[in-house]
Amino acid sequence: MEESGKIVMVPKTGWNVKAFSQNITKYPHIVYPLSFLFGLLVWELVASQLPNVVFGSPSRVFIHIVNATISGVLPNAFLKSIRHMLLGLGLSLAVAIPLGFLMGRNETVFHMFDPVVNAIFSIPSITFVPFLIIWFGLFFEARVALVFVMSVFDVLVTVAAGARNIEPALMNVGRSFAAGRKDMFFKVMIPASLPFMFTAVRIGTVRCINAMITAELFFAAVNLGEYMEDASAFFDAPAMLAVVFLLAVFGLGAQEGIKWAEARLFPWHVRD
Amino acid sequence: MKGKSVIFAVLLGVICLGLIGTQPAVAADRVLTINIVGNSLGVHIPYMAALNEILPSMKGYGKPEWTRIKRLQTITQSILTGSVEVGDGDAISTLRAVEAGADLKIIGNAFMHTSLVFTVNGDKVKTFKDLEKPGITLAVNSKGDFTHVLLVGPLQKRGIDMNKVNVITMGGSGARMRALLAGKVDGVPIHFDQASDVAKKGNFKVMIEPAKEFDAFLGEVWIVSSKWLSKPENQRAAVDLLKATVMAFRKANSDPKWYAEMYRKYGTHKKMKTASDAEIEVVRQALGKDIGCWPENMNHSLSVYKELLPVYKSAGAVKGTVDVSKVVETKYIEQALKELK
Amino acid sequence: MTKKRKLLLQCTGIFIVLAVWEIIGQHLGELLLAPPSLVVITYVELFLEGEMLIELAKSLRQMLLGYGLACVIGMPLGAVMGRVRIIDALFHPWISMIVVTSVAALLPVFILIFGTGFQLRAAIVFVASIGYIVLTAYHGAVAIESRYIDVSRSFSASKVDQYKKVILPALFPFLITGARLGLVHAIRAMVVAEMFIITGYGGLIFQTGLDISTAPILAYLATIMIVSIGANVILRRIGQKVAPWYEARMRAA
Repeated sequence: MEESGKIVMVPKTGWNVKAFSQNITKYPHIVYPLSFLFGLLVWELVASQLPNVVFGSPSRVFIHIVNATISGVLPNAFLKSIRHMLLGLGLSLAVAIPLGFLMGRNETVFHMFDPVVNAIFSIPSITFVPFLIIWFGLFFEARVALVFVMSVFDVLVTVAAGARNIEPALMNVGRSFAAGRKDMFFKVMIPASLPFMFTAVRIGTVRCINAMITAELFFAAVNLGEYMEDASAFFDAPAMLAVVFLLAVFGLGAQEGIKWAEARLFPWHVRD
Repeated sequence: MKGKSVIFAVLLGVICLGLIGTQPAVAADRVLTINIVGNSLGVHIPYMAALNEILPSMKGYGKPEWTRIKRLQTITQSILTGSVEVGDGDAISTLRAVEAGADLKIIGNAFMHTSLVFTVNGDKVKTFKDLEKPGITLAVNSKGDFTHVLLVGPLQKRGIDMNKVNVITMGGSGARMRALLAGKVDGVPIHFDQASDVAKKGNFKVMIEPAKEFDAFLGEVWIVSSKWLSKPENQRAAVDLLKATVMAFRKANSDPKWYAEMYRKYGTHKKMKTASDAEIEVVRQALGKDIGCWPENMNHSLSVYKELLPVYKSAGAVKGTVDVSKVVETKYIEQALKELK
Repeated sequence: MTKKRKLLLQCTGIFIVLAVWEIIGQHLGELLLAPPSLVVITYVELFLEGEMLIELAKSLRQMLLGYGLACVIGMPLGAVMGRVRIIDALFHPWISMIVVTSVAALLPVFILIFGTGFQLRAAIVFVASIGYIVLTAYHGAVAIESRYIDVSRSFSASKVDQYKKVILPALFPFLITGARLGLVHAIRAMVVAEMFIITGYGGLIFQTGLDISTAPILAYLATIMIVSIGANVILRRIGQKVAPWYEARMRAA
């Protein structure tokens, strides 16, 4: 990475672009909003090229969001949608983390199930829907099931990969200090696995937020899914875009939140 | 570095393959691009024949390039940006699109009325009042669309309180049928030729027959954008498309053998390919004679829309701000009928 | 672990899963979950009919455009994001937003904009796969240990040489992994789009919606699995050939 920590002096003779770009990234609270503005400008540009009935400019979408938030419709739908997302995420992590560890630390188990996991991972989630309808119905249980199915394999693969790659040096240090099995597990392996566990949680969250709305569009349309379907049926493009945008921002917030938590709790993790 | 050039070559190859795969064939004849509904059942056969047999037989036309679309409203949406020329869609979504600012025109009917019947789980729903019970769920395609209207109209007539009826929306007639058979929902709209199959699989019975409830009901309509219609060659194509449709209607009404042949050829359900003449004739009589899906002169007129608009409004299908006379375009069907005399 | 033992274990694993599936399938019946024995028969039937392969080829060709573009744009973008902070700050939020977005939610919006032709399919596949390609490349670029760069500097390598001889080779395993992950999502997006607009391979899967038996849909799924695994194997092979250190770097990938 580029030299970090020191502020580069600007020569008196004029603008130094390199210094500027190095300095400005010291202030994420400036660049982040700038990045947003940049994206919004691109969006505005695209919207001006398309007819109003098929797309919405940022301004129209924001007006829609404000109105829908004040009336309470949108936050209400959102809070209801989150339920199956969180439950699915929880189940996914609960199943995939232990299994991933098992697969990662035990070569036998890994080689036995790696091809199967990869095979099922490659199946498009939409094709699970007919089976889920038959087994779980059309409502909450089915949505949780889809969220689970859409995220469990991603988390599993990540945890397994991480568990496999725990630095042998760390394990050796533990052994040379004659650490017992319990100590090895709690004092060496768990701390060593925290980095990829955070990654796994982050990946799982990403998939679950994706699955959150997908579930409401493939089964009985409720909450946000219903909101989008109605908007789509009435050709209300700003409303459709509002939902997509809000979910995207939510996803961004979740990812950044997890990264931030990791940086605060475990600053020694060597990461971006 | 060797590796880099290998990747580059592979990627280039991938993109080239992709581009080649997307080149449409160049045709000398006029090939219309049309979006049609997902399945072709008995009621859709005449217009499928019109597109695939009658229109190409007319001078200057090749077989249209049609694509099936899962949901009706998607068809209307796809016309908006002009990527497709004609849509075989529904009137309600077109009216809604116009209310939202789109500039679309309905030039004719692909068929009238509907062959859908509302089928319920006979174990759980015995009377109309049962529909108000809390545990009962009905599934329609999309809120306020014609599958919803065909439910709401008759129920309101019988004094059922729609606020008490639990209606969910779910796209895909296959998914809805599967859900009904698996006992996950208690009532769905199905095409009547499939209703008899469903009845064999359990205690399922037909509760609402729209043909008996509505005098006039719109089926699927031909939708185009005003922009497309402004060009003279497209106006000609519109007339010819309508001519082909009317010819198909008339043939379906008069020639059982032709209809049977087309039924086997263009039906999308596996059973249709091996259906017997007798079975097909039952369908043809029901659709053609009893319900009247294929009027000899298409029956595309403003009066039908004016009659249905209040029904649509009360079912929450449209807001009612649209001026139907601006959307319904009758001069092309008039021209077509004149030329067919 | 010897190669033979590895193969044995893999086969055992597959066998166990098939056995469990067969038992559950027989118990539940073909309405709920057709057992492999039935699926194989249906598979052969459908295969011989020919439609499956034809539609598959058509669909894959259409998908390749969006996927290829995503690779061509996404890989450099991710790599640069990992090395140049300001680019990262500019693009990362939007990439994070793209990667959470559901294809099912985006599809109606895209249909309004692009219609239902091949433009739609290219666009949706592009959006679905680019997030993963960029992020994987990004993580690869970030992880390049500074000591490698230091070594190249102490040999006074030019910036270009640095890129060619240090950064790209180190990045390579991640690019391949990104390509594999992107491909999985590209295929997914393709199937979803094709079930909406009933064409191609996804269209065939949609048509099974009216079938009572679950055997046909399982048969179509099996082909997708084979295609996906095949593509993965090919990409992994390319990775190993061009960068033999790939296996060591991505041991579990």
